[in-house]
Amino acid sequence: MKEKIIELESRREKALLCGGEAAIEKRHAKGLLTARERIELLVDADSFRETDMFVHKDGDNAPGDGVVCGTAKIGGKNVCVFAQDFTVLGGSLGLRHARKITKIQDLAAKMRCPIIGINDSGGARIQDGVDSLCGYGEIFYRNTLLSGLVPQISVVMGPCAGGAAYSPALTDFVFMVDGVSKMFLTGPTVVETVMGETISQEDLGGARVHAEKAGTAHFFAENEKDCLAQVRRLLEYLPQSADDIEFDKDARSRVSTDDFPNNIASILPSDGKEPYDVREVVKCVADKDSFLEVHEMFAPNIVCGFIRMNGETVGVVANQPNYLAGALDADAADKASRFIRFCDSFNIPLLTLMDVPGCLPGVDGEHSGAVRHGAKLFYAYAEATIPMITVVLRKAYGGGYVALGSRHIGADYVFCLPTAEIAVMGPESAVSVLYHKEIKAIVEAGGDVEAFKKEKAEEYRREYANPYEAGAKGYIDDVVDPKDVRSRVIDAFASLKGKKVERPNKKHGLTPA
Amino acid sequence: MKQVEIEIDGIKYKTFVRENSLLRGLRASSYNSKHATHATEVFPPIAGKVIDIISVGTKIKKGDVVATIEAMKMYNRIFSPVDGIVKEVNYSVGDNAIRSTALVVVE
Repeated sequence: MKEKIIELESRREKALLCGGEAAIEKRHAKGLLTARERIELLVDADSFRETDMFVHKDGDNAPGDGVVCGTAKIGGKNVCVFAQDFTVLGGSLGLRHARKITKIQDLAAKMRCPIIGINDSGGARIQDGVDSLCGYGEIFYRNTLLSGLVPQISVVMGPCAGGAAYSPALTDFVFMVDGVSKMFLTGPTVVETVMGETISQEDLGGARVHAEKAGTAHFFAENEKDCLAQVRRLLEYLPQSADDIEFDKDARSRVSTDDFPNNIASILPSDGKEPYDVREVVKCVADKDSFLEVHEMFAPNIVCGFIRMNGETVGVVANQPNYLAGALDADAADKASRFIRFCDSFNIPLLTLMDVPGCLPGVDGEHSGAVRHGAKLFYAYAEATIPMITVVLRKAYGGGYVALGSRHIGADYVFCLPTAEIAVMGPESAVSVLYHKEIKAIVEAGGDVEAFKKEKAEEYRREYANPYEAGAKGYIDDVVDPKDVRSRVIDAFASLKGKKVERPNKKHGLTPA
Repeated sequence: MKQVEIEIDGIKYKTFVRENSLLRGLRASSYNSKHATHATEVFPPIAGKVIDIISVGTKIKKGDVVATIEAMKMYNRIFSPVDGIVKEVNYSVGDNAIRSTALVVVE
């Protein structure tokens, strides 16, 4: 028995040494952590229980086959984790490596708990040939099956190139680290050979590129430690699975007793054309310090994130007048629709703060599919069966109004501030359409056309650009004093606790793409 | 269709470019080359009427407003991405700013 235990210890020691001391030192010299160090930082102290430590390829000196898997706790709740180990064959993905990952994915499905994958891999293990492709396929398949069942989080902490990049893209939230994450389908060498474009790895697929331009990364971190802390924070807002509908039942204990800075009225400028930072309004309705923004650097014309209201998680979508006037474009629609679908999958109620001047005009936008991208937003709201409340802060024009959680598309309550302007188009444009004959006549007679337009625009604004036209028709539920918004929304969400919506039975709908 | 001047191995050519993506690429590369000499062109992210614009010679910091453009029923503030001095101003108040022409050049 003693020898057996000694053998176990020695095997375990070997496995824990990853790719060897030299390889670990090399990583540390570059300021990078090892797979197990990353897991230790991510999960609650002493909670990690490793599985499949002894998996390795026959005859190879490849402890764990280049990936560390197991279960752990974060914030006292179960999670499944895997972390690719770059010190072992460059974290390359062979069949056994892949099967370790699929095994932990299957476990997450059974445990109904979130799964976090830390990606740091050179790519397919060429020596394994088609087995590697089989491995990727089996991972992607499970990513898709787990989608909407348990939260899936990907942390890219190293290279994640070629086919491997699709796994994070199939998951719910992607985290990247400045200077460390590198994600692309084909690297700079191939890009140069095929397209003649010269670019560095960082400029092609670094964290900043994915966070700002490509939109692949939902969270951007300065360093690995900060990144893993961000993952922990995100998980605080999420249920364990789609079945975990009572995850906020201890919510009230988290509510801060501090006074709320309830000054929406002082944030909204009196001139309707003046922009403001809508995130300040979000903070006014949220519990203190509870706003966690998602996709902060991508499509800043729409703001998405999680807040708590009376301790309970609420998803927020808000137009950002500070960027592109808060107008909708393809990226904004992509960003918000995906966020709404996440909330719907996991039963997180949705609050929309509307201030939308319309959709962004432009040839490039139309040609690159503004219509089919924008359609996603309508689809996401209409499809969602979660409690949905919309507050119209100011502008609510045209299709933007309909899309962003109007009553017509599925909101349970629509509240307006007295500053709301719900209309089919803006006063200036409306005047040019409604009075084009009169305007033409004034121009021909050499009259003061600008004064006429101004007067008519003012008239239109008085008549239509207010909440009362929509109110008269029952399209909104109430006009609310800015100081009462938070309490009104909290009460309304409370009334929707048992919301039940029946939908026709079908296989699945077709999300616009 | 835009006329562009390109230089290949020291020889200058004038040609026309139609594709927007190519134009964007050219702009990006000219931005990069100018960036190397510490000059930054600030393009408007949205086209519209210039309500206010900074004057040549003003010393500015990253995040300072260089212009205000009225578009989409809103005043849109355009911020400088860098510290520097305004070297060039391409519009006056009342002009219609377009996305392909920089509002200002900061050096």
